[in-house]
Amino acid sequence: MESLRKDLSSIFGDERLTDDVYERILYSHDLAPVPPEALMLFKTLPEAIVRPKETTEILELVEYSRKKKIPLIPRGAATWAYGGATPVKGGIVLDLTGMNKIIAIDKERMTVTVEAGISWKRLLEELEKEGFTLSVYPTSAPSATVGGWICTGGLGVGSLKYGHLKEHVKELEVVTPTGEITSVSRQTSQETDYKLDWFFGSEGTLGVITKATLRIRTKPEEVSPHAVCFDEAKQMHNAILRTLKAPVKPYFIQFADGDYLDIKRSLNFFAPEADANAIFVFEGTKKSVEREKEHLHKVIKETDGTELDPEKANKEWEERFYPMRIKRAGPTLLAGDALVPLTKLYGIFNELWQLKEKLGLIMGIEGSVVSEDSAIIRPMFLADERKRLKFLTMMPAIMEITELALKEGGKPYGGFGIWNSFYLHKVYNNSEIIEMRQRKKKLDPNNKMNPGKLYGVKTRFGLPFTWTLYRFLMLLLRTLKVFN
Amino acid sequence: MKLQELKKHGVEKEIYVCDQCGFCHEVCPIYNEIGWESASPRGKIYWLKQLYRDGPAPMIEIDSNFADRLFQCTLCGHCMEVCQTTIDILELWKAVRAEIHRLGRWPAVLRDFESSLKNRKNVYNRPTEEMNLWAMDIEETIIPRLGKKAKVAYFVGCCSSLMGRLAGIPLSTVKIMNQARIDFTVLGPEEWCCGNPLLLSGSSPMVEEVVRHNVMKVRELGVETLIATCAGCYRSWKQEYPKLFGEDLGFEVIHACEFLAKLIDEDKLKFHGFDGVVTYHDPCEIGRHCNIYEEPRKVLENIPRMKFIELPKTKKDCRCCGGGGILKATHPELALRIAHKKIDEIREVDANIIASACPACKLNIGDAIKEREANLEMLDITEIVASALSDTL
Repeated sequence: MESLRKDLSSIFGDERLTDDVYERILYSHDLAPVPPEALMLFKTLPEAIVRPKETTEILELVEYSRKKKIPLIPRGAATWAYGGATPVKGGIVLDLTGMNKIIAIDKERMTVTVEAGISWKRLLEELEKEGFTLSVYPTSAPSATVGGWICTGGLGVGSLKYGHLKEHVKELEVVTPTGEITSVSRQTSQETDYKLDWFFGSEGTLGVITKATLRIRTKPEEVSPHAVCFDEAKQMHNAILRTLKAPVKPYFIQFADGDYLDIKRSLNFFAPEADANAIFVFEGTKKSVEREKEHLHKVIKETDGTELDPEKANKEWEERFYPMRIKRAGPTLLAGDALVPLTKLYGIFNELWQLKEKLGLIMGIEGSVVSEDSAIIRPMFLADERKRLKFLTMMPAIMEITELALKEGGKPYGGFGIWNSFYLHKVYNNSEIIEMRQRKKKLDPNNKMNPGKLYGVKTRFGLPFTWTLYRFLMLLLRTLKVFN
Repeated sequence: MKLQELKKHGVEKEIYVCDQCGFCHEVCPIYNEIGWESASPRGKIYWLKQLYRDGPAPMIEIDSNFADRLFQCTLCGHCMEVCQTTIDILELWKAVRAEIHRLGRWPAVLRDFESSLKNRKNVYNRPTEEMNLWAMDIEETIIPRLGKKAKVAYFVGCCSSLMGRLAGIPLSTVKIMNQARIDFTVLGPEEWCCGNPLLLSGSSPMVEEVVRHNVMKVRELGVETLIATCAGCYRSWKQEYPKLFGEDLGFEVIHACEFLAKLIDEDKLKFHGFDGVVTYHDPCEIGRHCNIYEEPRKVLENIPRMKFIELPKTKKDCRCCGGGGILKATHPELALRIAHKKIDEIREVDANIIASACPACKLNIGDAIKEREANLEMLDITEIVASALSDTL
């Protein structure tokens, strides 16, 4: 330990390096409320944490880790819930949030180049000062980092109109596991070993992303949110499908079921009294927004919706970053995010409500439309981790929610990390997985870049964390219910 | 039992309510200086969860290292504005600081404050008579007012009373009162420290005695309105005193900003004007904590010849100057570093004067201006108003 400290301090000094246990426990988790019992399966406590300021420091660190065979775990704001930034074999955590500068705004090429640790919200604010904005950003923007979202989700606010984050990233600077600083873009993808697309959803396993060049656009003339309530979720589903038939797609559609609204209202947050609520956001020139509004008003009429006043619509639009408000009622919140076919939205709502009844959960559904044929749904149910046994018995409900979404043609959204790693086979076929694993092996032959994630997770005792083991554990937990 | 103060303050559930979303990071002045998770609200809350929950024994304890980090906070409350689950983080910190006090792990400087308040009724360990020090040059005006019955009382506060650098605030306030022909009283040596430094630190048995004394003294003088120029005194009188005293105080408590806005409404001030470009920094304790945002702006906008411009981040989004939450006493260097960031922000607008309405802001921002020899002047709102007044009525 002492020698690790000494070696690292030659790169980072003493200010940006720590092996203090008070700090290490804070870097051994992300926002998932994982029961301490489950954490014991892994070595989640890192040996040290460093806060790089320069790409060259990361390069030196990678060299050091290669020599000493110590795992490196790149970390953004740790706002994910699947354990992507949680060590599973100890190692050194790289807290990248200190690399948060805007390097350049190129008004001709319409791009911005940033260090990967900047938060999306700050980037948006800085761009807006100059009259620009981004096309897509995550709902966790107030804290989530650019690098973090590249490595994980990539679908969020704006995706409905502008697509996946992939389409907006032009270039990345990456420190590779073999110790090079390399630029990766669509152009260089032809010539080098690296393809830009590999880094989306790579969960920090292929290198440390240090810089990103993103497409920017001029701030739209108008942004116009519209909140609409429905007596039945079925009408809301209809309204969403019909809205998408307009020539121009809305910028953003976020929806919630009545249960979600009820829980939110019970906590004194604003939420309309309705069985379902959706917010439709249009943006562009005043003229095009006007046309979109007209179309929406027609749809509202056809589907018996009720539009709320603009002040409430604005409030809901501002609340897009705050889907977890209802956690206060828990105090623990468990969720099973899934990407589902949009045509099946109402059917899935129905099945989730049945599941909720069956398991006796207090659950609300929230989500957003991310393309013309898919939506992310986030069924969230209340739990209380203070009641430890009961809390454990509620874990299988997450599995049931995800299985329900899989059955309807959905897939787990966001990625794999530790806690979703057993779904890899449900999302990719065997040859794809083999290709991913070969790529990892080629680029990171020593398997030191965020090891033990994504491609297959092993617990402390060498036991692979597979779908079968997961199911077995979950069924076991379910039987605990008898003792409850 | 672990962390019993959390239960006493009714905040033990809050540590589980935290979503660990990290929205607090971007706005936290301490986290932005230090950069480690432990400097942020979410990091500290995670520690508390480790200490409080059942299950595996925690790897940490409430030792001096822990105490040190828990006092690295200006209690600016900016985190509460962005908190996903609206946690009353300030109340949580006060509860934890109380726990630290109970375990005898308070930072040394606070123990000094406590004994000074006990022995000398102010936190600077200065003789009680010196509470008149600020009025040295206007004794003839102030001495007759000491302990005199009046409808308006001015609660000067110990910072402004005892620190020469801050005397401009009470001197300006007196000048304003005189021009508006307001009959007022001051408590002088009978004015005990409001107790805020200890209230912010988790409190102490001493505070209740202080509250009782101050309230009784003001009541004895038949006061209807108590005016405070200090944001900390105001907040404790307004929010904490009624709770600690156990009943309605029997008089109104207002901050100088509210008082000045009222005088302007009633047309009681005659200005000749003020030359300068002024911007305003919202003190946390009257801004985010008490919602006094419009009054200071009303005052500044009504001064002839003066140009008033807003900072990039204002009102509930205003960045703390670093001088609050007792940080200036426990971690002076950190407080100063935060003030330097504030100056960088002020530099983004074209102002030559930064106004505020709190002696702690004046001290801390003033220190940073001095250290970097910035071409910027830090003035309290009362000082700006006083120097804008006509000399003739």
